[in-house]
Amino acid sequence: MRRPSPDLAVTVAVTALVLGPLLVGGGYWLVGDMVFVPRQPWKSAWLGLDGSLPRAVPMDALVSLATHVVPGSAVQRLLLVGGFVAGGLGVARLVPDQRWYARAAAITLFCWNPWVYERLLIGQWAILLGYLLLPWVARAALRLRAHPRDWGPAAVMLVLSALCSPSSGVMAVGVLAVLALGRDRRVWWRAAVLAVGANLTWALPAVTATAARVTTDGVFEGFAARAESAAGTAASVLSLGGIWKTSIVPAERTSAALVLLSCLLSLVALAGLARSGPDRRRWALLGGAALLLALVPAMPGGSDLLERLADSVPGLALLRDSHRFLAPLGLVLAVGSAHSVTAVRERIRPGVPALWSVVALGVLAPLLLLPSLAWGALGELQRSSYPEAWTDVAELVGPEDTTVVLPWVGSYRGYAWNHRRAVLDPAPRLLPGEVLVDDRVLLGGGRVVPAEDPRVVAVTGALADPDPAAALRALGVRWVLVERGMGDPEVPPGRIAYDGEGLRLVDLAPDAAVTHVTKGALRSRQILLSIGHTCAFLLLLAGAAWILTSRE
Amino acid sequence: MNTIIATVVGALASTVVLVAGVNAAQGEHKPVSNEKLYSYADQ
Repeated sequence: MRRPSPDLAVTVAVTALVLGPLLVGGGYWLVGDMVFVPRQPWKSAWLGLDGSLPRAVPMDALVSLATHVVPGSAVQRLLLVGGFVAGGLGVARLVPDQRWYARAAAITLFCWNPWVYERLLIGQWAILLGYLLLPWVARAALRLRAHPRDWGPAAVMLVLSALCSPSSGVMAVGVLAVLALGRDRRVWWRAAVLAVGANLTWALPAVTATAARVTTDGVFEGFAARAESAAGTAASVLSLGGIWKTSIVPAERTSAALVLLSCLLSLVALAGLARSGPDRRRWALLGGAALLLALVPAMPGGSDLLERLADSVPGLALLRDSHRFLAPLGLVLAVGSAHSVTAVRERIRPGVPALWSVVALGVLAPLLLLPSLAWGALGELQRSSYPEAWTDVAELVGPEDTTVVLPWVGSYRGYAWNHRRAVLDPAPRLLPGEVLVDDRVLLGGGRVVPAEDPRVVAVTGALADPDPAAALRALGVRWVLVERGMGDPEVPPGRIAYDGEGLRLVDLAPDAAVTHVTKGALRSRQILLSIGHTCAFLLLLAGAAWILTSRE
Repeated sequence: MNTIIATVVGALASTVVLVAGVNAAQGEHKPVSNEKLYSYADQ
């Protein structure tokens, strides 16, 4: 009989050790793409219904609803803590027949590895959440294969994964396909219907977006996995590291010796897979596919090949940061690690108690190999709070207004109140109405991922106009929000409606009229997207109801 | 046998702790300069 308490204790310990600083005080972790605001006003854009470029659809909608109930800081804590707890308990349930220390080894490896560190530090919390759901997806997939009529858990997990991010949804489908599909055609049909239904919520807005201009020029190379140390790219990736953003790589990962020792842990875990029963080939296939996907853009000619393919199949742009698809390897290694620890335990005989130290090393190795993940990445993640100016400005802007945010140089900011950490501009999530920020991604070394939203391109032209205020009004822009302390942008003339604590809000239309721009999407598209969201929601409800009724 | 195992495990663990600990301790928070602020890869 499996006892849950050790799994919970290990998971809670790991969660507390990683997220501790966030849990012992107020404020937010604002870093990279991780932006939470006190209260995120509802916008139809959160569901992709307004015709603008769909971004975090529908996760922004869920966060917006949640911040209407509890403050954004609480939402951030609940999501991160909930994710880690779900991940740890989930991976332990994938190896329920193993002893507690073997399950502990799976938990530590799954929740404490370079992939988790790098995605947390880059601020991709939703993708991290999708990763932490993977053990439950795998459980649901194994269940579906064993009992083809038992589709409820798979439906729930696929929808939850797709809610996290498109890549999480795709990864979940991949895990389901590898672990669930067999000779039984009923499973194929059910898996296909569930996969499509669950992912409609982001796929329909993306496919039907008229404002989107997907860019693939040079992005595969720009986002390719890279070597963190002299050990090379393959060693980095095999040990679950190697993210393209070199500035967030933990210091110890620049040591070739440490990366190679991490590879040793990965190899030991892979060796343990041989003991994982009849599913061992499926686990190996899953891990191998994840490894290959992460490495392809880094191989000679790999990024060019992907770029050429993406010209014909725009959906391949989803693979531009293919390193994120390394996530299933973390799951595979965790399962293998549990079996490796069990293999060592079985060799312990009277007279050789020292082998217990190998068992302990198997449990603790992930932590020892990556001390930088401890306690808010050893201080890299610092809590910060929004100055009151942000809520003051948000109260001045109306829900039908359009605001342009300056400086018009990329969308990442380094506010003094946020310890100068680069973070995605919070204005679009904090201010009501449409908020336009320069969405080019400047990768350094002169590489630029161009703006994908035509409205942003139009604002770039308007700001270069001899009369930028008139040009912006013609685009329907009423407000210009200047975030100070980061360069000295030229501000279009207008009435200063607010000035303080690093923010200046300029009203471009104190007397003149703002051109009314119809931003609504086609009615048919809105109906189509509403159907997609409803399908996913109903699938989630039906799956949950199935789970509850099948237990009775 | 116990001595050999303990020696190997001890050597591995202490190497990892030493290398990882020293490197992690050297990592420091670098504020973003204005020139590099907008370059996502830099910070």
